[in-house]
Amino acid sequence: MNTFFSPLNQIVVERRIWSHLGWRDLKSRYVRTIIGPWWSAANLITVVFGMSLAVGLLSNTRTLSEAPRIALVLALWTLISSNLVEAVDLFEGEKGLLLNMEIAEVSLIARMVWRNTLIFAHNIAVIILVFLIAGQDLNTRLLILLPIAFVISAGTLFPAYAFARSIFFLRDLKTILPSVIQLVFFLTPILWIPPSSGPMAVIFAINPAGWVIEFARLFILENIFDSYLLVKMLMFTFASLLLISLSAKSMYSIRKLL
Amino acid sequence: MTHINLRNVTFNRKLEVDKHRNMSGGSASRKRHRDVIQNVTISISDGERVGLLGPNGAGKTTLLRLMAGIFRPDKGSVVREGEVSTFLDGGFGFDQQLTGRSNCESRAIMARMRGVRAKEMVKWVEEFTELGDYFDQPVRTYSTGMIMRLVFAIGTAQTHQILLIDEGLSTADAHFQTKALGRLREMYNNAPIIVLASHSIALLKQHCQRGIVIIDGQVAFDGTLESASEFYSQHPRGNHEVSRVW
Repeated sequence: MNTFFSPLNQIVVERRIWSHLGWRDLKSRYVRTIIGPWWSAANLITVVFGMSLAVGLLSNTRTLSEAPRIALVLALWTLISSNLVEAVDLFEGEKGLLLNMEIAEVSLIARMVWRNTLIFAHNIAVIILVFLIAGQDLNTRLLILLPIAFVISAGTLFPAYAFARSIFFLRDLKTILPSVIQLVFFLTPILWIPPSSGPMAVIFAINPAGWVIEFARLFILENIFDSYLLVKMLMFTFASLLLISLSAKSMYSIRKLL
Repeated sequence: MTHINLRNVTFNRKLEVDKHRNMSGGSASRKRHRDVIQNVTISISDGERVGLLGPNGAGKTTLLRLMAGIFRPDKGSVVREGEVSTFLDGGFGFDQQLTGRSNCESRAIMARMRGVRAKEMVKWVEEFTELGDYFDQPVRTYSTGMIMRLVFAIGTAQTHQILLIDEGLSTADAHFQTKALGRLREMYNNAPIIVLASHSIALLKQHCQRGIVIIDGQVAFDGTLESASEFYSQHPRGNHEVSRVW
């Protein structure tokens, strides 16, 4: 079991379990609500219009001119940040499963990432709706959101695991992490567009969340294919998959900590 | 042939052992490795009914988890032939917001069942629990007795060749008890191997012939259940020297 690539292999072998549990989480979260998982989309749309209004007023531009960009980047940011923030409770919250059945630890990470990807799929509807309202052209370039969601999911596997694992040694992380993620929000090109020079350009150069968001923005809204950003994104994703593969032994020891 | 062989198995866990005050006056703790199972060798063959005895924290449940493959040994080996059913915590993976049926379907998927087998399990649980319309109601609306019925039925719906049971299986109200006891008897009679960990000598005597006393993560006695219970009553915590009369 403790062989290289075994976590990736386990993700494939146990796909039926983690995909079911991911769906079940969503079902449970929105059970007895009127619009179910569309509530996440409703929340996003509120933030998009609120933020667009503020940005439009501050920059003296047309109120909704920034709405498509904000909808796009916020939907992507929500997927990235949820995968990281929700990781802190991952193993402790699933103690029952880990101590009572043979389930790979990595399947629990896959379950969380899948759950957030399903929410992202609902948020794509918000992006389309905002594009329509703001008069932005709907085009097939939007389809790139599907491979991008995959890249984000694969790319956040290891960071999510690292946070979930670290909580056993540094419990303070549970309190600190949401604030850190909030800080990263401001350091990611969500409210701003990356400049070519200066301190924000340096921050952008070392922020993987920024690469994926900027790549999507350039491709969908500006019709620019930035291959340099794509290579950086893919390298980060590959590193995440490599590190998760190397974590087989450390992953197994989680059961000892519960 | 169904069997479980544990050879020189050692398993350690990280336990909080050193509490100290942190800078803000709160308490923090350090974790240290401790061998909770130490150099255990046990061989269980087809047809054996084994009772595990030992004080709280002796390592009985950990041993069951090692036998089930939930824990992997740090040293030594666990070889198992035959599919395992574990009854450690019946209610694991339950979602109170979802219906009894949904929870049952989930458990079938977690048990890696597919298609007809999964449907049959859900149908069997529905009939066995006699929950009626409640089976399609959220579990949070159930009474304690109804939850116990559901937990029992889901836990015993699918049984394999090796049964690993911790503290027996609890049942609900008197009416359901007769049915549940019948089901338990059927399970106990059909499984080639049973390993039952319990503090109840009476329960163990009812189902087991062989007794293993675990003290401080070591096999302190391995023999007939009769002599094991006698040994345990005389040495509830002491005498770590291994004694084998089996």
